Amino acid sequence: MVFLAAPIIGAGSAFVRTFALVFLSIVLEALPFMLIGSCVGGLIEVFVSRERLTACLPRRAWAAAYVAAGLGTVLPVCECAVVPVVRRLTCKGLPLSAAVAYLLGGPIVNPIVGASTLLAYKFDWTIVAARLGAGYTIAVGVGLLMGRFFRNRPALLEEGQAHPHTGRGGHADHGEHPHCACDHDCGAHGRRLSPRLIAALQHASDDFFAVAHYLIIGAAIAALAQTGIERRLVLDLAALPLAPSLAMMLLAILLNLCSEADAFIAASFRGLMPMPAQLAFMLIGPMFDLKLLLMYRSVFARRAILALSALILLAVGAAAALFEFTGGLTP
Amino acid sequence: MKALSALAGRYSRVLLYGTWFWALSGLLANRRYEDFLRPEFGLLPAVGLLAVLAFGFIELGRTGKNPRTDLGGALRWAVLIAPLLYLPLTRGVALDGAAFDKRWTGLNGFDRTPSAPLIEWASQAVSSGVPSVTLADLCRNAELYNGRRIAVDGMIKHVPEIAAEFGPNTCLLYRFVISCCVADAVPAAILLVGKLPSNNPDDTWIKAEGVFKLENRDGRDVILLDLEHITHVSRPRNPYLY
Repeated sequence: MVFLAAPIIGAGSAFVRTFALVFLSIVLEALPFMLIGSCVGGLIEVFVSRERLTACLPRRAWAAAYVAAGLGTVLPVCECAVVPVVRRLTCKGLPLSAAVAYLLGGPIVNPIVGASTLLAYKFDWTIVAARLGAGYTIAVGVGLLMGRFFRNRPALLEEGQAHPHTGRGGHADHGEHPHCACDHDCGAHGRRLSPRLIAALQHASDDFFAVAHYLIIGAAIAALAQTGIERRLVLDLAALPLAPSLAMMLLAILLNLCSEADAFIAASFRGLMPMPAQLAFMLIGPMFDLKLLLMYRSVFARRAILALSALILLAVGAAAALFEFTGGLTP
Repeated sequence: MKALSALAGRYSRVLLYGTWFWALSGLLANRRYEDFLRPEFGLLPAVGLLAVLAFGFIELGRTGKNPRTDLGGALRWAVLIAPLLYLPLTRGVALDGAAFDKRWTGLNGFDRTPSAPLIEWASQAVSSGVPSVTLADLCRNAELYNGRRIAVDGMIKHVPEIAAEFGPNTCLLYRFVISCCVADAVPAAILLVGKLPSNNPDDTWIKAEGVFKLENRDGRDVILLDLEHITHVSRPRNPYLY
């Protein structure tokens, strides 16, 4: 209620104005990607059958995770767009390990992120290689561990939770997965293109409606953090031993930057923070931040989110420590 | 009540997408999106505009059972419309001293790695004959401008710790530099050395002229402008640098 009333109550306050600027900039930058992601998810739902998806991926779940973590190279998506896509892919029977690997790897291991990192670090290929390589490794590792931990326990949301309020029809689906409820008269089952495109857009709209509010709440929390927290305080934490990487991870979680832009911010910490800490910033942001934490609620059950969060934090922290202790990435 | 609920169920999403379409159209038509995103990123709201238009038509023509309209659905709808409530607050507003206080990490906090293309020295001459450069260029290419007489636009910021370290006749001149959007804006600031007239509170826009210097003080680089002259200027239409 405070969130909705603030524009009226606090209209004259500098804090609310700055919050509004930051909040809207995050929303305006991320929402189009989420809309695109929803459309891609809708197209997958209607045009990609479970059989076709299974045929495209290796049969073994571990091998599928290796492939999925690198899918961003052909299907480049940022972290906001990847969530609705992954929702639909899991509906099509994509193994959990592969889904997590794509969810984490897609927003890092892709050409756009590679190019922006290259640009931000003045064509230093070692930084790009370290970011993409570590991102891929973490995505595969966390994906495989999640697949193992949740082999016999449900990690994805149950029916009705994944698509609440779509409510447009019964629970019968395209024969794919109980999460993907839609009407049989939705047009997706025929051969004509236009009804199928309409059906894809209907699914896209449902997905957008089911996920976008998490993005907006996350953006609001991020804007609140950006408006209220002094960055120098986070940097002061870096004076403690082993703390620079943790401080930069905390900053990335609070800032909620797009994976295609975060390299420029990381690069602005050159001279202030060691390179492994900057790398930790670029690794954690696309995998785990405030808005993503909320958006994951549209895909995963609560305990799976807890496990996923812990694994990501541990993996990125370990990668940064490895670079720090081995002296890798020293300028 | 049932009729109202049915009506809300039928048209709530159409209204949502319609409102977003209207807002995005306004942002694009007036180039107001530049208040939030870098100018080249106009494609993003344009893509959003097309998507919400398509979704709106799809929802308008959707047949079958209407969605449930429970409290959760209503809250979700309210959250999705909430950003648009904040839009009027941002008219004519840009990041200022309040954001500077939170984002500034020190005089060496801005990435000072030289970046191409460098300023075309001759083409930047202003009427007074003093070349005008941006704060971002000064920070990135400090060596290039060291010892030169230049003019630079920005906002004034009085920082107690700066005055304590460099003396009372010092303050900062800053502007925000954006990579993608306002959320990632970082202040580019230089030290102004010289007595300012008293009518220069924080966030006043000025054009400062003087000799730019890159000095080493206590083992760290300090970029500063030895003030010779200042002129009050109005805030540029786009106050951000890129």
